[in-house]
Amino acid sequence: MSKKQAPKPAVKQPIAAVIPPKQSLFTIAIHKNLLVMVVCLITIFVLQKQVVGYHWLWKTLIKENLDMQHKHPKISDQQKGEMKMGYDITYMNYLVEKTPANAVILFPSAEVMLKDTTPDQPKFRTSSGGIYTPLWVQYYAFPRKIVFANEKGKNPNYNKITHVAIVNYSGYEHITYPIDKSNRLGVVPFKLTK
Amino acid sequence: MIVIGIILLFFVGLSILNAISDQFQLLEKIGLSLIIGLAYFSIVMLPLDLLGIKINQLSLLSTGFMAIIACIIKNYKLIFSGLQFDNDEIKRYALNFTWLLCFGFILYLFSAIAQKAFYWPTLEYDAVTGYDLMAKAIAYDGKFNNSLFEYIRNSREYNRILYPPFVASTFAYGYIFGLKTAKLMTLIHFGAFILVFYAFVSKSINRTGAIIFTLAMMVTPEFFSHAAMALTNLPNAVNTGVGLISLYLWLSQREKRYFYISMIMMAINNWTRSDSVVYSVVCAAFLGYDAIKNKTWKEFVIHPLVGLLPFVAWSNYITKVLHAESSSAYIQKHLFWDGEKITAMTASIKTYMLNGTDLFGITFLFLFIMVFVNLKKWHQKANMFLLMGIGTWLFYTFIYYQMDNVVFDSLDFVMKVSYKRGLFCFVPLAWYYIATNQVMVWVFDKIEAFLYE
Repeated sequence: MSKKQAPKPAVKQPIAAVIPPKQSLFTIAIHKNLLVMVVCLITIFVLQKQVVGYHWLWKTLIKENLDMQHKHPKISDQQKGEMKMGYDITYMNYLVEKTPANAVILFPSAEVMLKDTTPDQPKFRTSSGGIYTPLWVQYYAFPRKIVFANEKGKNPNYNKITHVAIVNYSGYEHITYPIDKSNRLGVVPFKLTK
Repeated sequence: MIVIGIILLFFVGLSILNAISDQFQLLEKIGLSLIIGLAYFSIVMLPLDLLGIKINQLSLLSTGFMAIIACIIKNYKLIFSGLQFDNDEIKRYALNFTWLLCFGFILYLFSAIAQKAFYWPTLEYDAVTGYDLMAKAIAYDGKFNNSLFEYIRNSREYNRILYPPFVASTFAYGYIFGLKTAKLMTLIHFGAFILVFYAFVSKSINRTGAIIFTLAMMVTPEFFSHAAMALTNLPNAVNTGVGLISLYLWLSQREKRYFYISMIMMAINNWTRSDSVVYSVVCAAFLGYDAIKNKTWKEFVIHPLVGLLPFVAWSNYITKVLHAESSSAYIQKHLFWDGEKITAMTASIKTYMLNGTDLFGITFLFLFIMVFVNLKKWHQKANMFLLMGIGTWLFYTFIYYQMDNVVFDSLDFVMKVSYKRGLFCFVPLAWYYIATNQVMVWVFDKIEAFLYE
């Protein structure tokens, strides 16, 4: 506790001096009440129209988003993810669907995943997340664990691999059993169980 | 189950608040209870982790009830005190259409941003590769030192996972109690802050002014948009805002409860982002000046000690338990002069704060106008708050100047992303000054005199 307390200034309560102690809810003169409200409303309207940021907030952030929600009220999270993040989400969802929660999945290196594809094939993202970003992959695969081909001898989970992700026809080189190697994308078991 | 989780965190926060003082107003009680409740469960996860107790519903419920019992054991009747509307006060102010209009806008905008938050899954890069991933891992494995740390590719990539864990752990709290998307936790934080900001502002300006400036603060474009995201910047701004305004309230009005709130909020802030340490240092400077003037030495020592404790604890946890690199490694420890860097930073700052209104609306323009208008009233108390804001901004900018842009991201990227978002912290501070300076208080006194005479 302070030894010397500074004098306590009066808290500003201008209204208390103006308003009589007992009033009903409707004692403000209606014309004054409306006038102040209309001035406030016009100010809000002008700011919304003239200031870039507020215009964006109202038109894009609020209105367009609400319109979008009304147009597509029932689309799944996967579809929403695909709308924003493209094919990477589709692939990750496929991977999650085909592997158990305790899977350890081997991914090809980033260079392989970003390899050029033919124009008719869907492309993965090359910036701001996507399957070439280890932690991004980890998020969508969680609680599955992810290891990359170039982490042999470094990542302790490399010895626990249960599945291999096939990306751009790559990944087949890590499995030892015979398999049709014609799929551009997929996920296969690391070892065949009897 | 999430309803139980939220009720629990509210009552934990309320109990802590009542243990501090039973003098808080209704809106302060509701808002601060939610924020402090979130903070309690976030911080309590660290001792649980260190003691080897799994972070799950059972351990969180147990620690929650323990906190409630510990706080209300002496004054158990206080738990619901002050949780009712003052009907006489409502009647006294009558039906004020302007107040109702702004209140309606606040409700509508909050509901719209909440709908956006719930509609879109978490997709933000920083959340997906950082806070939300960490939250999922904490919730799944029941500890901070979870499966994500079995192999750290490099500390630089893990930067966002290694952030002080306030956001990740509050998200984890949501997941543990059954949430599908953790954005609800950001919304709770944002909603609670709107209540607290209104309550704080209305201590200095009348209700008409308070509601208008609460709306103005809320609709700052970039700030508002983050309410629908799972990032750290909005919680950081909320914690900074409540912490600094509370300290100012204590320094200017000497109501001790605000000293404790400020201390808690600064601790939470350092548990949210490492760069928040700048706010604690500036608080310490003001407390130091006050200690010299008013012999408040105890407060001068306690505030920074408690405030910096989470920062020290997490830095040690990262290096000693997780064996990773602390973010302070990216700050250059020696002073230097780099004219080119200063020029580049000045240009970015000018763009964000002066030239454009796309990021912060009229916030900083209006602030500069109000500072100019108040130049002749230099001795008013609100200027102490202005100095706090300027001090923190200068120090915050200095930290970015000291950042090693070779080891860390490029200056251009850091300014465009981190610095810009860090300016969120100054949005509540700017609006608080705009609303509570003498000129603005006088203007709104005249408006209410016109209405009520």
